[in-house]
Amino acid sequence: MSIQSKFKTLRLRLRSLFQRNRVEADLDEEMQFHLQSLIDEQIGSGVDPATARSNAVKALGNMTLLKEDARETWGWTRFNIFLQDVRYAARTLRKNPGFTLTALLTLALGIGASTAMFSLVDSVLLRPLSYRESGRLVAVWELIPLITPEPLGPNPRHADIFRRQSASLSGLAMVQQGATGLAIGSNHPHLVGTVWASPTLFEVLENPPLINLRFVSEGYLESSGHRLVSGRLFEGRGSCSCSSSPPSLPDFYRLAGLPRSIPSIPCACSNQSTSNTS
Amino acid sequence: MSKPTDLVQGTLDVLILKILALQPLHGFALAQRLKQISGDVLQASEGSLYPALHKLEQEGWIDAEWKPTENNRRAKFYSLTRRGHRELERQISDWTRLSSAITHILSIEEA
Repeated sequence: MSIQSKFKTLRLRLRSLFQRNRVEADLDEEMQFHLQSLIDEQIGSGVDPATARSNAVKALGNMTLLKEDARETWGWTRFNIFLQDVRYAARTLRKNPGFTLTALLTLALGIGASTAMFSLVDSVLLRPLSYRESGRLVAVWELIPLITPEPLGPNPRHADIFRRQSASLSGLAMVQQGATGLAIGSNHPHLVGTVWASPTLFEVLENPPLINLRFVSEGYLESSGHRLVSGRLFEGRGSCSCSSSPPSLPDFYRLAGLPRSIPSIPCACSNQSTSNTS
Repeated sequence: MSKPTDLVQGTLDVLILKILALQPLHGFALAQRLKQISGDVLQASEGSLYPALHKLEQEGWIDAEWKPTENNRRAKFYSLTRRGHRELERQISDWTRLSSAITHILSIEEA
């Protein structure tokens, strides 16, 4: 098929879609012309007008069906049936507000629930953690059903044995999650998540804190005085923003009711952490 | 789909193409010509021409144009396109091959 004839066919198709009424009127006029010519022919041969008309209609055939057949050749039949269905559905919905509301609510709840579920699955299972080579991170815990069905808390002695004897782990950090009350400045306290961890955590995650305090890798349990606060904690609280202006942090905060001071540190943006000692 | 007769189903297209190859015609004149030439092929309904004509137009084998008739009425005249001429030749050769094969089979004498 040449480009020219393809273009012509396309033009016909588009015309029957966008100028439907015009094309319909053309078809009608065309068939009316045929009908009228048949009538004239009959009258010309001496038949009375009423009989002529009835004969002509008989000769031409079922006009509605023929038009339907002609429409089918224009294409878009399925599309037009679909549009008709849509219009019919819209009318039905408008007539039955109760049903419409129920259907809409069902849809909204269904979509909302699946979206929420997907967001959860996406963030927990699908999206990689924001650490370098997060696919290589594994969590290890001890389960001794004789003692308790729950996983045991981190055991420094065992962790040390794991670290020395494991050939597949390049680093190991002990981590325990918890929660505590935090009050910034003179604000009311609120519950924040905490992580008790060995200092090797930052080596394992390859994500050093913004201010790298010298953690003592030996005897860290005894020292137990290092606290890191996420820069995010202070973001959006009017005390820290990620602008170029020098940030101002409140000079103290309370952790589990105990006041702690905050040394002068730059404000952290993104996921990095600021640290301080007390 | 309404059809004039089963025989016409496959041959109406080629008849239309052939008649339009001689001269451009509107639907009514085409029906008259068909009646003249082929007797009662279109007896069932003259209107069956229109779905066939529209199909041929969509295929790009015929062109349509609104023009005044000799009685000065507006009518849609159909004419064969260049592709229509090629299609007509193809259909004629198909038909010739088929009909000669059938003729050949029918002329075999019983033993």
